Amino acid sequence: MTEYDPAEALAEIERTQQKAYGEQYLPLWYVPGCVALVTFLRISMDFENSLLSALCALAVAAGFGALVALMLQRSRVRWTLRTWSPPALLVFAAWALLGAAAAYGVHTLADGLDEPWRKALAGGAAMLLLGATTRPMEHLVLRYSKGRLAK
Amino acid sequence: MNLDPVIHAPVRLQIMSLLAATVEAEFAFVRDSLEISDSVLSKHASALEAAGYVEIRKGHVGKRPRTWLKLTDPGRKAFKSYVETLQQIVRQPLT
Repeated sequence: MTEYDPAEALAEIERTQQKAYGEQYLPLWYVPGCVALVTFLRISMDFENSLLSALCALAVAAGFGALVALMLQRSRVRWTLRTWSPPALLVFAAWALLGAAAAYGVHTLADGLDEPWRKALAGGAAMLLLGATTRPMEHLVLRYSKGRLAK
Repeated sequence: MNLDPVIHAPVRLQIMSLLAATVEAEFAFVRDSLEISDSVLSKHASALEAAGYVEIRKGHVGKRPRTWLKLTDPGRKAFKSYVETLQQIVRQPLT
C-alpha cells in the first residue's frame, strides 16, 4: 500500500471511523431493559410499605448495574464522546423523548385502569417502541455523524 | 509541513483513526473493521506501541483471553496534530 496524499488521508480517516461506527450496534435488549427497570421503579414507588419500596429501589439499582456490566462485557469497543456530532446527539435525544412521549400518551389513554397497570402499559409501550426503533435510530445517528473527524 | 511518518503509513493511519474515535477497542474488532489479518494488525500495533502511541492491554472476559488497544495521551496528541497538519495542507492554495 502506498502512502496517501493529504486529501486522501483525511478521507480515509473519516471512512475508517464511519465504517467502525456502523459495525457496533447497541444490544436490542439494552434500552428496553432500562425502560423495564424504570417502570418497575415507578410502580414500586407507589407501594404503601416504604421498606418494600426501598428494597425495590435497591433491586432496580442492582439491575442497572447488571445491565451496564453485561453491555460492557459484550461490547468490543468503547467510543469517545468526540464521535457524536450535535445533529446526531439531537437525533438520539429526540428518540429518547419519543419513548417518553409514548409512555406518557399510553398512561393518559389508560385512565380507566388501576395506576400500576397504567404504568406497566406505559412502560411496555415505551419498551416496544424504543426496541423496535433502535436500529433505525442508529442508522440516523450514523448518517448525521458524517463529516465529523474524531481527533 | 511534516507529516508524522509513524502515523502516515496506510495501515497505521487506519489503526490510529479508529482508535482516535474510541476509549479502547478490542483487537478483533479493529482487525475485522479494517479487514486486515491478525499478523498485520499485530505488527503495526507493535510499531505504534514502540512509538508510544498505542497501549496494548491483555485481559480476560470470562475464560476467554482478549486484547485491547487504546491510544496513549502522546498518541492522541500526535494524531490530533497529524490531522490538523493535513487540514492545513489541504486548505493551502496551489502555487
